[in-house]
Amino acid sequence: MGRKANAYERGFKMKKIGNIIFLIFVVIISTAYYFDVSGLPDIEERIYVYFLYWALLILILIEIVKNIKEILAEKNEDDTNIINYFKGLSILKNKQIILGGSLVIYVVMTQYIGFFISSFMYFIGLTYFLGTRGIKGVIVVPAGLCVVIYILFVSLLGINLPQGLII
Amino acid sequence: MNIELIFSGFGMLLNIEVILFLILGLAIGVLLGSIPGISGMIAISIMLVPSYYMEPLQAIVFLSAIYTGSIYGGGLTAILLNIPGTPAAVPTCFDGYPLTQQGKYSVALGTGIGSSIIGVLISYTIILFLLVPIGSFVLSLGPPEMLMVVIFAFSIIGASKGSIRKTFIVGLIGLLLGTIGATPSGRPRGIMGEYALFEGIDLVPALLGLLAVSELFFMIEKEFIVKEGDKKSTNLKEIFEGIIYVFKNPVNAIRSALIGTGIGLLPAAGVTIASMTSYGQAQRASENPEKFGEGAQEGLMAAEVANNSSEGGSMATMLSFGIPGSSTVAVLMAALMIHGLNPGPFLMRDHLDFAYAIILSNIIGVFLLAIIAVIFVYYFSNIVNIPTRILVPAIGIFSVLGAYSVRGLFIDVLVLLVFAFLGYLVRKYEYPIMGVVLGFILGGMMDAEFVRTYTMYGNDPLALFNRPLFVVLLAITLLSYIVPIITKRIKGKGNVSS
Repeated sequence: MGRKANAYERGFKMKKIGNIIFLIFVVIISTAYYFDVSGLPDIEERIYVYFLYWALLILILIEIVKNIKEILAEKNEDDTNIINYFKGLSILKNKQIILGGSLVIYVVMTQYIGFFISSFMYFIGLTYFLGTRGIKGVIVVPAGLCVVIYILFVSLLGINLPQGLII
Repeated sequence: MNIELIFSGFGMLLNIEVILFLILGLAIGVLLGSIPGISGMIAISIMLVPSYYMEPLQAIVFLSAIYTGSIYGGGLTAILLNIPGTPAAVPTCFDGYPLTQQGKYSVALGTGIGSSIIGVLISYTIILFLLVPIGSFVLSLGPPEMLMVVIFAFSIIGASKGSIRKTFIVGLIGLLLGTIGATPSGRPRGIMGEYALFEGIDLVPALLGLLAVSELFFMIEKEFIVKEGDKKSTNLKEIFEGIIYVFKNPVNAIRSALIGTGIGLLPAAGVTIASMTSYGQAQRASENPEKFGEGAQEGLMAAEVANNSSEGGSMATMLSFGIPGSSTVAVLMAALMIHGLNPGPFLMRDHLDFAYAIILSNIIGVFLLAIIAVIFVYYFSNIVNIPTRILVPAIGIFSVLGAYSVRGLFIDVLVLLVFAFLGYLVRKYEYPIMGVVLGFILGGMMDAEFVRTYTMYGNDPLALFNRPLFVVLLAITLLSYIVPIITKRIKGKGNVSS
């Protein structure tokens, strides 16, 4: 019987599994692109993409096989369980997940409530989550930043930014 | 080369108003170029209207100085925040930002200043004396030669650390992404019904996402950009040490300047691959190639020298042929035309002294840039002392702003997000980010030159070998792929046996 996996080995395996998932995702997207390109009439428009796709596919398959071999070589009693891994993950405390989620929400918000209001709210929310306290850091800095951006980019440079109800 | 006309051009610069506009242009260029979201092209475009009221020479010297200053300014944010101000500043991030993280940002910034001086000096001196003969060389390069240049530029991917296979995986991903948009025949490819992507994925939001925003996922885990033990205040002595370092490495400086000038001359390739190619060559020539990507000063120097010297090459092509090598130079060209001067053969025939005056103003200007830059970086570099809980949301906002600034389209912001997540995953699973960046920048160019070459020689590929320059470039390119692979394998076997 094998021994239980230690924390390093669990991390090592999860990284390999994550890498495999990432590569499979790349294969799916690039295959969809390949079929999209196949509909083009001229060979000159397709041949270059074909070459890149097949070269990429071969390399990815080799990499996936290599990763699987490495995971199997580390096989032991307490195999990494993806479900248990995600159960143990505290999403609301994971800074990277919060950053990713907040970026998506922020970008979508710019279209509905305007660039400046959503930037102001995004800055306040994220900096507070990261530990900033006090009026200066939480309110004054983002307000000042928005004012500078407005003066420089909108007034002086004339760049159009998405507008909300107020600004 | 006409010495009399060179002196005549110099005489045109001996005017206090011209010198003042030169200084003003440099200062504005450095300031605007250092702001994420404002490129050299935007900076020159903004100042185009005020330049209407200037004399032609004053206007062109002013706008050209903004161009020079903005190239340097874009390198500043690449070093301090991993945000390239222009695509050409991308390789500056690879070693400039790690130096900042190690607390050596003063040295890095000084190296940037020294690199600007050397790059601009060498490239503009070359084109001052070779402006006329350069033209015939550029004209001799056709699509097959350009294809080899682009493929050669991609070969620096082989010099990356780590697994060759992983490097080529991300390189191929980048190349594929670069093919999205219109085909060389004008049909849409991979645009998913979004016609804003017809011209391809815009470089600025993609690079902002890959480099700046993806870095936020790692920056958020730290309190400051610089590790606590490495934190220091900006040090003038270290800035000057960085400047002097460049002059103490003449081989790297001259090689990088020649690469930058040479590739800057090529209209299709231009400034975007000059710095990449120079960086790769510096790594190959280095005694410590494994240090590249971790704060190698010689890597930073190679990238910045080539970045700055490519400006001279671009200007030469614009002045002698009327072909702009980049969108920034296109705006400069527009400025010349607004003032009644048409770049190209007629400018060379009738106003060669004016062309020499522009070149000389850049040579003189680089010394003034050094003074302006030292003052600017001394204060600007304090940005690294801002805690990441403030920097992370601020950089996020500026990145989104930068994406909107390009065309004002939401699709560019979505591109920023997609590339940000791609960049994060690539770095998390230990693929070299340089591979994606390089592939993406070169993807479209490689496609276009490939199609042109295929159209010309598809029926008779062997006829390509009747082009001597193509054969030479092919040989160099093949060696540039094979040698690093063999070297890595030999080193790998050596590590195993020891």
